[in-house]
Amino acid sequence: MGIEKILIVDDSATSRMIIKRCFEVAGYQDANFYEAEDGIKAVSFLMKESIDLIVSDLNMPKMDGQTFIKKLHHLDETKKIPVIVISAMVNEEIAQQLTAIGVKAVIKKPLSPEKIIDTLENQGA
Amino acid sequence: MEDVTEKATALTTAVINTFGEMAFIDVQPAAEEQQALPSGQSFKIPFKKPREGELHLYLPLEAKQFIVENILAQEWEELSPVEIDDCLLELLNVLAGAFLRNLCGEDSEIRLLLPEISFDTDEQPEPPAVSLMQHYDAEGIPFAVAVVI
Repeated sequence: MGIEKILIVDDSATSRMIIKRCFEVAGYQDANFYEAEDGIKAVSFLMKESIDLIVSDLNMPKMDGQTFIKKLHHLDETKKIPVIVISAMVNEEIAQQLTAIGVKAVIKKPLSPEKIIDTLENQGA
Repeated sequence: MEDVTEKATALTTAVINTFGEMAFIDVQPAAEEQQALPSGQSFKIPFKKPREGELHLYLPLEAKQFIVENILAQEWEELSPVEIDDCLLELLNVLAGAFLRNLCGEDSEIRLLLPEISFDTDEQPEPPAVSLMQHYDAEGIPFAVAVVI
């Protein structure tokens, strides 16, 4: 997949910064990065902007990650956008649940450029 | 039910790995003379699964500066209090996930609540009623982590 526009959804500014930095080191330094601090702001943004990849946390206030992803799955504007989840909370069972609602890959925090490269290579990016 | 040694091992492994991978800081268990609860800010994160409890992180100012400057790659003076707190809360979030996986298994379902500042002054904090208190040395700087579980 050609990835030029990436939306990062995480309530922690530090986490958003780390994710962006890891993607840049992993080879996506020319991508345009957009940020949202919760699922509600992310959905609102996605109604106006086209995005190539969404990177989302799970543990967020206002709208948690799973609710956000289910919402994306039901909206015509967003259901085809690939989603990667990056979280401190994932296990195999949650990864399967997320895959069933359209998530392409799940990565455990802490993130690293190597984990991004491995994940996107497995996705054929 | 895990014993204290299992909890201590799970916690220490999580602390060493999380500080190493997120902040590029080498952490070791503290020597005997570093075993006092450090004064400074403390943070906590409640968790619900696979066990219910809380993780507390006690950081003196020097430790906060060291950690935050390493993670954010910015000078302390350039950062706002909000940015600093957010950074430390994210560290605690990752640490809690790692601790619970170490304790209960890699495939455990983890449910963390939102991390928060639990003590916001430089006075000596009251130690909470904890199951376990561990003291660490971050390249010469002491800090402590406590578990209520």
